[in-house]
Amino acid sequence: MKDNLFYLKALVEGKSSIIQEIYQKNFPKVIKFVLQNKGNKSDAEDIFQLALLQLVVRYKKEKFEIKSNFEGYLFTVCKNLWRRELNKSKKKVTNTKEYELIDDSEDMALALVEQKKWEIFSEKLELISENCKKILKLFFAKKTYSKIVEAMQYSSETVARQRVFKCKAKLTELVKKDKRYKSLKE
Amino acid sequence: MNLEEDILIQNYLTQSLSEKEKKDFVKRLNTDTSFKEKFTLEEEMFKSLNKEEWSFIEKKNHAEVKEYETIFENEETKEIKKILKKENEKYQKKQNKKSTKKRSYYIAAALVALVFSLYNIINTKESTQNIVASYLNETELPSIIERGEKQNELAKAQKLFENKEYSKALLIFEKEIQNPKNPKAVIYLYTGVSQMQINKLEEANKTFQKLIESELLDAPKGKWYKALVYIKMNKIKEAKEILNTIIKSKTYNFKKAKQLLKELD
Repeated sequence: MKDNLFYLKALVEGKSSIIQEIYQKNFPKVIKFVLQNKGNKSDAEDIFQLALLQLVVRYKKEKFEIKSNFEGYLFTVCKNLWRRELNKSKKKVTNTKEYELIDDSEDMALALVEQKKWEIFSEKLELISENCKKILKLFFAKKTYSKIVEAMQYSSETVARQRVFKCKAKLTELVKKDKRYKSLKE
Repeated sequence: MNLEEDILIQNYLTQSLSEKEKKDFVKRLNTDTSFKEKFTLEEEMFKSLNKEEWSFIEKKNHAEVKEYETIFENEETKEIKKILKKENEKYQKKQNKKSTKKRSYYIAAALVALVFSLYNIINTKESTQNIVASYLNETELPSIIERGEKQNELAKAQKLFENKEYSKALLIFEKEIQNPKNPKAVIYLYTGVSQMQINKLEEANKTFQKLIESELLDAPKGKWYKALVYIKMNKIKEAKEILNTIIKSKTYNFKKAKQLLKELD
């Protein structure tokens, strides 16, 4: 079995055959995702390259460990980068890309730190109780309280509100305690 | 944080505050640092965990961001950037080739399917006969005549064959096959096909069998034609057996043999 380090090292060394293998295994999924979410083929190509470069730079700085498998992690990074692009254009008035994404080092650095922040929140969400996780997933998906009452079989919206409040408090407590989150605030 | 504050922040994030409430909210953010802190964490959490939002970092002078920026800028990284660009082009090119190939294959397959389904609609009884006819027409026979030999007997026979005067052509072929100077395999093919065309199927079968048993380079072609003869005779079982041996040995027309086998089912 090829471990996660194998791919990261191959990327840093620029090994053609392994990079092609990474493309073959992962690009079809990424292009499908981008096309389904308002993007085109060239967006998918940009995002994929950005993601690979992000992994290289992160590996160079901290020799980080991928906790899931490489394929799953790469796909997550791609999804997040695309989400980020979509939200960027939401913020801006114009929707056109006025520069090459991959040439903007500051933006790529921001994206990397944002990805790390995202990882803290997603990790912590996995640490709370199953019940809380279920409620919060509904809440973060912007479901109304009446929907949450229905899905969780609560007696009233007041109960639902209180449950969401308590679960969120647990989650924020875990995030605040995390060293990585503290360093982000500096 | 109390429940009241929490609801207020949520209402702000989901844009359900009135103009007046929004103004008050922003004012409080600017004056109350502890409230601002709560809000920031709440917003980060909300935007991270909602699948359509994204939590940006606003502080560009952030130390960690600067550190990464330096690595993104260094020569080594730039080199990798170039490599990735090249590898992307390489991969996309390969994919394009693949998809054009696939597309033309599908078009061809669709046409074949269409032609045969039309045959089936027009006349189901004759459908196997039509399969044979269309395969016979599709398979190009090599030219019998060598360059510069337009006047000899074989040239005459080929002309007759092309004009569909098969019986007359056969008379010449039967004579010419005796001449050791002539290309035997090609004459067998022409002879057999001519016999097929005038429905002398047993004879055609024998001709192709001779070709198969010969030591000639073109001997495997005999099998393909023999299969067609069997179909014309309605001996589908025998035809399938031959087609399977063609496919197994990957000899002449084995791809077509696969296709034909499917059509017979």
